[in-house]
Amino acid sequence: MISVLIPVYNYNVKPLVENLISQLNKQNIEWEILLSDDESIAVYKKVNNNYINSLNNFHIKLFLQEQNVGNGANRNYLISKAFYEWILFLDADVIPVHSNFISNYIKQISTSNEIIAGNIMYNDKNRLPNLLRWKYGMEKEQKSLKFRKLYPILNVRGANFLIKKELALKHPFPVLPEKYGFIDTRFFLQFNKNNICVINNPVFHLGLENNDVFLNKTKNAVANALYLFLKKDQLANQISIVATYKKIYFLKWILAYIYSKSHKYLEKNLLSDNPSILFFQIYKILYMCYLGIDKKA
Amino acid sequence: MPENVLKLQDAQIFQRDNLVLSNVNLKIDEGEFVYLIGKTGSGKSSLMKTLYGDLPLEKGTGSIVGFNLNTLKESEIPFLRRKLGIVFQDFKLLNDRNVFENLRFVLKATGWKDESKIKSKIMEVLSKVGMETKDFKMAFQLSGGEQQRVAIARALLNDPDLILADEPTGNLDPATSVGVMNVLREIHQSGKTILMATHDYAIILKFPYKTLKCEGGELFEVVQQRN
Repeated sequence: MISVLIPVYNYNVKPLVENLISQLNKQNIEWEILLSDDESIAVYKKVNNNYINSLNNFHIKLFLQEQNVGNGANRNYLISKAFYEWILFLDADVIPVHSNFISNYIKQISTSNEIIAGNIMYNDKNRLPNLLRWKYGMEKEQKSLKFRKLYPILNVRGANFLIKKELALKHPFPVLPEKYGFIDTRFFLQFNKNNICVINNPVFHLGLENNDVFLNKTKNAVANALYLFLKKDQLANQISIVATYKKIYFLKWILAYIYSKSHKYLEKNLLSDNPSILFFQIYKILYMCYLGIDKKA
Repeated sequence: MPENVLKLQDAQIFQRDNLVLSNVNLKIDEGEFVYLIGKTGSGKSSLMKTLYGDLPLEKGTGSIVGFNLNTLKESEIPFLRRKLGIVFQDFKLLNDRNVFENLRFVLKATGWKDESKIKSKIMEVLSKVGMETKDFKMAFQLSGGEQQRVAIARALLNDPDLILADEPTGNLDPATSVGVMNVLREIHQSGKTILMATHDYAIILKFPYKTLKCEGGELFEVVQQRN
């Protein structure tokens, strides 16, 4: 009764799939695991393909996209292949924290919920090489159950949630170039928040970006947020940095000036062995102001 | 004229203040596989250390992968080591992170930025040592042979002109040693130059290559008897 769907890009799926098989086998349910590789590099395709073939289990399939279709399209492809009425979406770079992860979801299915949202945690083992990403995850992304229940739409993660297939077929993932970002938020905005049941059922997020990669991605996300704000896209109202930007709008010239004078110092801290998340938050808003005066917003 | 990857002339090798090898003349050409053998204390390790800049070359002349060992400055050592792949007896992996992160750490430290290039490079070298399916394992979860394979993969990351392997099978049982040697042989067959210090004669018999011996304070080539 459950199809586990895993979009894959340049990641070894073995630890996750092994974990899921052992958990699913303990449940008295019908299940399948479908993976779709979005044109990873050859070695990953081979490693994952060999592993899935070696399982020799027709409930577990790996599809290979012939070209990179993007996260949204890849997820929609998986939805179209799913057989059972419930879909569990997991990113390839996560691992369930507890051995009752699957059973926690199964228990909720009996109720009348249509979307059941688990959560993301950050593992201490992953701390060292990716300090900024890890610290940000620990401090800003590990939200309390209470907070997540208060703002479900903004806190559901595409990396770990359960959805009725019927609903996912009706409301597919937005298919947009990666640079537009905010794909999870765009997706969950399609639903009524009362239909989302928020539970405590964590996975560890393992595939963390390096500090400089994460910083660049963040800068892109800030630029996207500004773009959405300028376009008066309704999505912009959901993005917290836009709300802050509106509040300090009248100061943006000064803040942009501060950015130009201080960004090197801030970046040095953010890429160091002891990055400050407060600095990171300040950096983002300063950067948005800096871009803002350029774009005459 | 093709240059020697490694050349020492009338070199003297010291271990602290003690002279351990004198009149060392050594040439290694591109694509060679050379063993360096000798008993413990015969100067093998000191010679290796001199080659990767851990000990200074005080007497004689020497060059390695385009660096002059006589005029090598402290600040040049990191650049020298980028052109060398070094494999140690005790692997020296970082135990607090997984295989992938061990290798990413090296690429980051040598200035690689593009994440997708980093991933392809890491998976490429892991494939060469047959460890591409274990990129997610923590270093301490690996067997000794697997750790050494990862250490060899790490040595290959920056496409070194010369691989220096200091007793790479020293901590491994015979069967595992053969596995690691098969990896080194494949790497050699793909065109890499390797200098390997060892005192494992069984390995030399099984994988015969040019062999240099440190004995009595000197270095000389030994000709292997074949059956």
